[in-house]
Amino acid sequence: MDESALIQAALDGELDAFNTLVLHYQDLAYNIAYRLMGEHGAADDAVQEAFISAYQKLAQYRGGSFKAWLLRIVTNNCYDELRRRQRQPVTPLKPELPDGEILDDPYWIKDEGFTPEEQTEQAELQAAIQKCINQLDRKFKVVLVLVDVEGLDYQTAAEAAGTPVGTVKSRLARARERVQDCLQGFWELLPDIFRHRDEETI
Amino acid sequence: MKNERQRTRDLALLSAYLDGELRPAERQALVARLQTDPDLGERLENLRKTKLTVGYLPRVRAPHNFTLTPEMVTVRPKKAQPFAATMRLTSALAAILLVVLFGAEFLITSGSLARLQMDAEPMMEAAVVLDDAEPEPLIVWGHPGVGGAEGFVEGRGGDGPVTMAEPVMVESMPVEVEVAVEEEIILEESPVVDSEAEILPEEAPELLLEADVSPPTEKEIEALQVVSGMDGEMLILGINLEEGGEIISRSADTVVVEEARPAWLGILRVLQVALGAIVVGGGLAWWLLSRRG
Repeated sequence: MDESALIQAALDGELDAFNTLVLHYQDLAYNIAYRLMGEHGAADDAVQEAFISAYQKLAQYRGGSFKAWLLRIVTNNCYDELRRRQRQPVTPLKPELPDGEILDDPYWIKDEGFTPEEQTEQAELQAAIQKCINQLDRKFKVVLVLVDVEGLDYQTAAEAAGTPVGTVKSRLARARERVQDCLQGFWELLPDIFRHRDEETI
Repeated sequence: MKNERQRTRDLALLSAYLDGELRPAERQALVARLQTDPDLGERLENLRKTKLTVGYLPRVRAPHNFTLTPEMVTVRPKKAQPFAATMRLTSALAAILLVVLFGAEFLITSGSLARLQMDAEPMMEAAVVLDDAEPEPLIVWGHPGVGGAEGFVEGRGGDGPVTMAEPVMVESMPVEVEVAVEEEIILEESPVVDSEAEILPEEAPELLLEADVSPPTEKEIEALQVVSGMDGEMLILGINLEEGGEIISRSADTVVVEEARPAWLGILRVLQVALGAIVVGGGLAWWLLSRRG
């Protein structure tokens, strides 16, 4: 995919060229939006608005990383959507665990190769992690999602968040520390997962 | 304080070390410290676990394609906006006008009331002698002291009842009495002392005022009910000091002033109701349109 050529074609009014870019980045955009907002409906709205906004503002794109430019629009739209939803709270139609935790949608937790019990454990752990992310301040949350969830490097994360690299570095450290403190309340869910991940990755 | 700052800086270094974002010199210095500082190593391990845990979250795929259609990216003109703005402007202007009208009405009516009240006092006395059905001329007696030394005052009105006025003590005062009946002025001199001069117009009922022949002194004049008229004229029991000896014709229209409501007041009321409707309707329309938009 020749990104520059597609951008130029989109600037010339070819919507199909822009839609090619949309198809390329939509999973990334949606994942970030979902992790920032913790809700599918809100993420859906934010991402759709972000792509429309990106197309309309494409002339303002001044080169550099198109991915970072696009993700900045996505994160800004997520903030706007969060603000809107805070003014008009929406009750999610999701099943709750006995302790009040909200489970994610069935397709979210669907994972082949796991027994129903394991799937439930996974769902609980994922809900716990998401809850800890949701509790973060907005400025900490975005860098954590961009770097730890999405795996972006500091430079791209800084462009997407609209902050200097040094700020990303310090905010990310503090975000990790806060999530670590938050996860202490769910530590019984972690050992197996850690062992499994440690064996695979470390 | 210094420890806290050092702790925060170490935290940032450890976090960046995990991501491979440290410069070579920073990395070497940190590795050297990690070999000698077990606490720092433990903190690094906790951060690594946290990073792994957060990274454990699966990547969520887009539930559907977010490709754009021409309708999505066409800038739609907001048709409702100009109408809403017009409604808002109209409502605001009508509200301002309504306030102005209320203010004007208040000022005018309060001024009119004060004038009516001032008018009413002298007129109330005069009204006693006036017939309800047909307004009669207001009889004005002669100026005290005018005429001969032994005059008397007597007045006769139209069909009105006899006045409740007390007999006026006048010493030696010849009085010219002027009586008007339906714009006809009859002037009669009565130089006779100690007698009652009766002037009885054909269609006028009797109205008698007993009076002493002697003219009143200044003190007595002051004792009389002195009221200030609308135009600042001095009236004593209906006697206008400056128009002594004349008869002021009280035509029907001057008497009816108390009863009549000005025509403009009705128009004003209609205007106020109409403006109120515009304010409420315009405001409601604007609110609905802005909510929809």
